[in-house]
Amino acid sequence: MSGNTESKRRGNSEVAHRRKYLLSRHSFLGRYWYVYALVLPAVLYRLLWTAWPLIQTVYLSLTDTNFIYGTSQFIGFQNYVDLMADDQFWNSITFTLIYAAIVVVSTLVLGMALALLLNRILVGRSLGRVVLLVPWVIPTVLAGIMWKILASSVGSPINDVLLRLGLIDQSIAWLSNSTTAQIIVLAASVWKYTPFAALLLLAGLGTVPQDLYEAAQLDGANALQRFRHVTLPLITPVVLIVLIFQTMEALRVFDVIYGLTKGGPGDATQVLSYYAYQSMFFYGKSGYGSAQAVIMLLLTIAISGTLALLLYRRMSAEE
Amino acid sequence: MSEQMGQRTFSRRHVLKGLGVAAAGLTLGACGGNSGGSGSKELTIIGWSDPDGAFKGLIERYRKETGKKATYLESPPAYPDQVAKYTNYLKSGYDKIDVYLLDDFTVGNFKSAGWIVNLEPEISKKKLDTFAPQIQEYFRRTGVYRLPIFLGGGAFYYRTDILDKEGMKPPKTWDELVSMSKELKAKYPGKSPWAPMASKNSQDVNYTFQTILQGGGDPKVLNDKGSIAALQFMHDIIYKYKITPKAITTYETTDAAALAKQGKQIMWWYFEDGPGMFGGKGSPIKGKFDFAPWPAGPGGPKGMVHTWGWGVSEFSKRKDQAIEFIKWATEPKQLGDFMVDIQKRTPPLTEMQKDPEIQKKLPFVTYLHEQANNLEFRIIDVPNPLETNTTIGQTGAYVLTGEKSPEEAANWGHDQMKQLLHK
Repeated sequence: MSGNTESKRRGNSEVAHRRKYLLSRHSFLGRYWYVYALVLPAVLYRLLWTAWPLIQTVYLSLTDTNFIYGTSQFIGFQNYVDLMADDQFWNSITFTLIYAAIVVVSTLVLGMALALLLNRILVGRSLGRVVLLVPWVIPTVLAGIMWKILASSVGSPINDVLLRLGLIDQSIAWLSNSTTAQIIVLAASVWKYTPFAALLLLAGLGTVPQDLYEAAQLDGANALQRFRHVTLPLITPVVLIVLIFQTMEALRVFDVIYGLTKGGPGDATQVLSYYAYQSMFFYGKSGYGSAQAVIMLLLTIAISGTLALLLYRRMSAEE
Repeated sequence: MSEQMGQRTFSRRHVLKGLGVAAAGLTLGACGGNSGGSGSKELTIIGWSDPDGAFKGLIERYRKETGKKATYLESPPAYPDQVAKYTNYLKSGYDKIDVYLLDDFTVGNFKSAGWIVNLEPEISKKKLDTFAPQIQEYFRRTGVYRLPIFLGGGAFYYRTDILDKEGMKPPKTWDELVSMSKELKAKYPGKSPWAPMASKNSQDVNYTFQTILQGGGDPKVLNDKGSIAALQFMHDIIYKYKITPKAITTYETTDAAALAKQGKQIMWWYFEDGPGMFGGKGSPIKGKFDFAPWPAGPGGPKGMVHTWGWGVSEFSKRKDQAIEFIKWATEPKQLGDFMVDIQKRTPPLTEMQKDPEIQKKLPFVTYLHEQANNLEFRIIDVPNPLETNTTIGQTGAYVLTGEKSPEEAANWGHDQMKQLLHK
């Protein structure tokens, strides 16, 4: 008995000693407590505006909250079950995934081409960077509206150019046909997001040592071989970062659709985020819309997370 | 600051302290501000965009006559954006907007959600009885949650100069519409013979609703024989007869108005303010257009009737003043100045509609009376008119874009409608 008491007393004393050490000037926490104190408000603020709405959204997705009917009962996963049977949901997810795949690949390829071009030129590189940024700085909704004007059935500059070039013999109602509306949405998005990819890739290209190119050239490598065996391996981490950012951006696309087509014609350009928005704000189905938002979040985490894991493994392998 | 060698230097600590104080000051300052522009006694009213200053003029007259201030806010012109904005305000319990200009759908949705005041106890029966019979029917079906500022509807507009030149009269049936359009298309290749507006989540609702009624269908069923016939007609005018451009799925009122004024449309549909819109000063088609009853399908020359009106927010802290405002704003004098003279829309009051001067100014009044049996409100007596009617529009949109066949679209619409109407 006295042995147990003694060991308990020793244990408490150790805990107290550890606590005293942690709070003393000699420990890391004791020396740098003010760093945590300064960062804490920002972290709390971030948690408030990110974590709390996320928790609320997840909770809402488990209820039948509808402000029109005034309902707000817990229904478990019923919203998710209903979504599985919802054609419009599957249509919007399908188009979202197709949209993301095409936009991400296109912006990466075009961004790489632009970055390689800007990397080569010595005169006008700064001006090139500024011009490149123009689509990116235009607010996305305005970019959508701008493209809506470009593609309108009356007075469309796109139609005017194509007519003058003799490529078409009558104006195309771009936004009235499912296929052409999707093409315009994709074109607008690639135009908008390519500059960001190009700038990141350009920064990555700047880190590749020039002597490696010289050595490869001396070994008889042509431009394509130098790109494949020198450039690409060294900028793979940057490429993966671009992929992650662009994928996240593409999967949660909303502004371009809002400005350009509002999901139309019919449901041809309906994306998941816009469908969730319609469900919540147009039809009052907060619970149902929240379930869609949660699915979108999970999808984004799954795809972006996979890319992030690839990046991590790549960086670890290099070390 | 530290003093070294008689000079003052700033350390990182001082800089951080200063930045922290500045940030706190900015945050507190931002928190103390408010938006909406209303003080404790000033009403805030939100309504349509106001290019001709009609609404702002009304607010100014209110100030002059009553001595009370009010602020007018313009909502986004596109209907879906307006709905989203109103919903955002009301869903959050925003109390800085007192009066909303509401259409037939938003009033139903907001009433169900408990966001707007029931005006029936607040408005005398004498006042309610001054409204036109169609509006009184509307009140009986839905209750009194707003006071209408006009009574309008859709009508069939056409170019009188072109039809006269070709020796044609406005079509009375669908078949006449098709045969005339084919002939006009051949003779006027740069113009659309028949171009009904059908923009997503907006005019597609109105166009599909009216066509279904003309087909003898029931918009609450959507896959009955008449509805399918209507959807087939909507499909055929684009894909079989090719008398209507596919672009109509993007046509809002602004597009329809612009195209008509540019002379690119021979026959189109528009609302009660069409005569003012197309016959206004500077309009290239002034004196060259007119409107007529809808061409009849198997169900007759059916069209829609609608209203917009002032509703009071349940969250307003100035409800009494807001109710006084809407009563004032729906008196004959205000409606005469603001609706009849400037907006050129049919007033909602019976006596005003009977006034020969107003009938002369607004020929649409006569149209409403003559077509009273053919004009119907859209689906209004359901808890969720917005989603219910948008389903009708979506059904039509599927057909217009070719995404679904008329039967597929009708069955889809029917399934959706069944779920909505049985909630």
